[in-house]
Amino acid sequence: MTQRQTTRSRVMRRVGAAIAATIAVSTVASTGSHAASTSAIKRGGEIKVGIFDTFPGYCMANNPANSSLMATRTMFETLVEKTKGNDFVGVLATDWSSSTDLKTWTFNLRQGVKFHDGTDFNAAAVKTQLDYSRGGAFAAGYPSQAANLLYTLGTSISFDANILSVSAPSTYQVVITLDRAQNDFPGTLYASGRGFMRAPAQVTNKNTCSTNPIGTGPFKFVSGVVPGNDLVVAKNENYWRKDPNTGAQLPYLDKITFTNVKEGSQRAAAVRKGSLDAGMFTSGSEGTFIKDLRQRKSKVNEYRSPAEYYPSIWLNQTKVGSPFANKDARLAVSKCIDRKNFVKVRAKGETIEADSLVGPTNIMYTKTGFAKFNVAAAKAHVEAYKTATGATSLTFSFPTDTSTASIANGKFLQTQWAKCGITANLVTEETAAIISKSFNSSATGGAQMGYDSLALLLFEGTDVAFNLPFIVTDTFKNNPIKAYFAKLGTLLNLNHHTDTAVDTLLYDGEAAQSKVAASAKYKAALAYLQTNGFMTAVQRQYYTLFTTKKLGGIGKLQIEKGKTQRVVTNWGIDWTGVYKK
Amino acid sequence: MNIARQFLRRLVPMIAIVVIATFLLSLLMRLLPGDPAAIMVPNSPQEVRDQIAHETGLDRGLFGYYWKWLSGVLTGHFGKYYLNGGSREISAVIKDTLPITLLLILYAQIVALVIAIPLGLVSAYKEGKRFDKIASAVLFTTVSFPGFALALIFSLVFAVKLGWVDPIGYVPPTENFGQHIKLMILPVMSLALGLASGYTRLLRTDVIATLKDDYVTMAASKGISNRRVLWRHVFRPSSTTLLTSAALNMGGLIGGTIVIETIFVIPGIGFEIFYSIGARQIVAMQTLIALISIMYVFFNTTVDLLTQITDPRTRERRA
Repeated sequence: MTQRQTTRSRVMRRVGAAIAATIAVSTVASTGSHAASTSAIKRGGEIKVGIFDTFPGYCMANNPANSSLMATRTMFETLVEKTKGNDFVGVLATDWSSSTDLKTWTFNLRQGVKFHDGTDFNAAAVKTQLDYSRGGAFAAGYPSQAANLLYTLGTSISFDANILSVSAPSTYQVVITLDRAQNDFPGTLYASGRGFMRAPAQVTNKNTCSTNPIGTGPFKFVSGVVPGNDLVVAKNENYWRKDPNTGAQLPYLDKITFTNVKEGSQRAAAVRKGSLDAGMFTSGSEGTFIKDLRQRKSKVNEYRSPAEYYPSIWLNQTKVGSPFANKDARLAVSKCIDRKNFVKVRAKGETIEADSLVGPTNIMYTKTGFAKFNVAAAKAHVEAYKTATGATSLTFSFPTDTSTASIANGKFLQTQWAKCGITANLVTEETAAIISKSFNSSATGGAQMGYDSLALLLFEGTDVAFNLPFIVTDTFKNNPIKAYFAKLGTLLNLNHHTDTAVDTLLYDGEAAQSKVAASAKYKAALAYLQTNGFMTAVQRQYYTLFTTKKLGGIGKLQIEKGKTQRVVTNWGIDWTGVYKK
Repeated sequence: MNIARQFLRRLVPMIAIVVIATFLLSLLMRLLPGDPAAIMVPNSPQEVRDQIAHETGLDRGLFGYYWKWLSGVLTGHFGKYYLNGGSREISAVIKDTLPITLLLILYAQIVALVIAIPLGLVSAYKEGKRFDKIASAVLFTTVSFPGFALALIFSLVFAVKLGWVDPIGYVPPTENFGQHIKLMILPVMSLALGLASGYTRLLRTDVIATLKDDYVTMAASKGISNRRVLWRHVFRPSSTTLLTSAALNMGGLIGGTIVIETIFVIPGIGFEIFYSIGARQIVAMQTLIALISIMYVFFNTTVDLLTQITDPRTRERRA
């Protein structure tokens, strides 16, 4: 052994010892910090959270959006929940399995869970919830009970359109039979956090379903009914969950008040001052306030979702007077959007320029065919449209809501389109009016999607289950239940296209036995949509929650050991494991 | 007795005004574009919308709808907020929110008058002098700011920068009076400053006119102190316009609270109107806005009667 080797070996030993010491110290430190964090958890206390959405009600047909969904989720739970790793973990279901043809799904339910009214959470309750939300109860009661079940009709029917039947072979087991094979069915039940399990007493009461929420969640409803009131929830003393790591009974907080602070500046001011313990913001229109709060690191903590929310501009292909049955018209509009400039000017850099209809973390993601900004190409498409149709101009209606941000966004796009010789007529209406004209959930049909185009955030996340109903021509496919709901199968397809090639690709993807095979089909479907300009996208956005330093436990609670829930999504955070320091 | 007779005599035109105002309101509501029932429950099926239209009278003509609403109000049914799968009585909302708004308005009036009365008297007394000029300039600047702008500026300065008060929230006085006052400071000041400017200028003009009356000269020549002349002989007859204006503003202030209550998140009637407008809850909007017009008429009539008590000249003129 040479002198150099000896020295080297001595150095290596020292390095090894140093690493070992570091590991030992860090282990002790982390153990200590875990112990400290466990002992630092305090029970009790009341907090106030500022949100930007109002409450539409708590029944199946009411769809709470983003921040009001966060509040509603304190009272309700879903059968499954999504983890950080994008897989599903059981919440009210303990485990599940599917038949080899992916058409029969069996869910075993958690035992010992009670609804807030004291009734047992069991297979019968799940069957009631699913039958009412999928239109099964309406169909079974049709026609004699139809008038009493109209309140059950809504977008949930289109989402659950693949369900053929729900049965309860035992007290805590549910079997769901599907019309077509679906490998990601748990995603349908999750419904982006909206697949609530409500108590039968709520679901079956047409007069109070919207106003009397009865769930199994960590908090119980105290007060707060639409439209703009606070939602006050109080600790559910009989909550079933315990912290899987410490065994501590959940939840920690006594009371949460979710208060609607419409003004983003006031919401931000209140978080800075501590009048609100937390406030939720969207990067889509509140970039200025987010930037301001982000500078106050000594006063606030930020919890930010991935930029997995993909607003689209939907182009109506079937409305009379709409130019978008023509492919050149669609591509002209798509190619004439200066996304980079939009993100810089309108979103203050707080969103990401779209290069696909979805983001890179989504299984459908591909850039293939996505119409990039190109004024010359857009102008050529305008001319091609005019030649093909004989039209003298490419003109369409584009609704904005009455908020200054929405109007400014509309005007920004309008100016860009004008540079390509495209005329967008802005129609400014209340959000409720726009929604009512875009989604008409009549069982018997009627006018659907009253605009030529519509900017609306519907695509989100990493999977397909939630996004598919917005793309396919008919969500029911061969489900015989569609006989009762003449037009609900196309309700969510805001493009109102009739190209079943899209359905085939997506349904084949959901029927695939492997993730790789499924992904290939999904990417092909997205490329098809992009190449043909069915719709376009401007940006990808995120949601963020700012809290004062007084709150702890955010994102720490695991659903089960080793399975951590996504910390922030469009519905904010899970408040179950949050405590006041 | 005379006052009671006066009140009864004014009751008929008062009711007529309320009926005309609420009818015009119905007309405006019906002129809004779109199907009102569809807008109230945008995610509901057509059949539910039809049911709501039938229940509210929206499926009838304008007169039919108005009569349905009016007869409901007269029998204590103020209508509902409609949801897909339930509803909420507006009367319960009014019961919870009206007292909060009235309290806010009362505070704003008190603060405005407390600022305006001494300032108006002194400005008039020192007409054309430096104090008057400075006061006029400040008041002119203040009145040119809309209430919502003042609200946001106050919030930024006093809540965010200085941290003296909270920017949002409401606590009932019965729960924690100190916190209640603290939370009401910014909304009250946002409403009161604009009012105070108007009141001061009104009072100043009236006091200047009264100071030139012979009886004031007589009182001064008797050797009565300036303070006593101002308060006892000048202020009382000069306050008629101020009182009328204050009363008129009571009704108008409820409208002003829509923005202020929304900015400061005070759960009053203005806050409810704002969200009813956002959600296009047409029946709720109609009832809540009608409430404003009823209060407007009520306060006007009341102040008219009060003026007759405080100023004998008005009584004599009417007689």
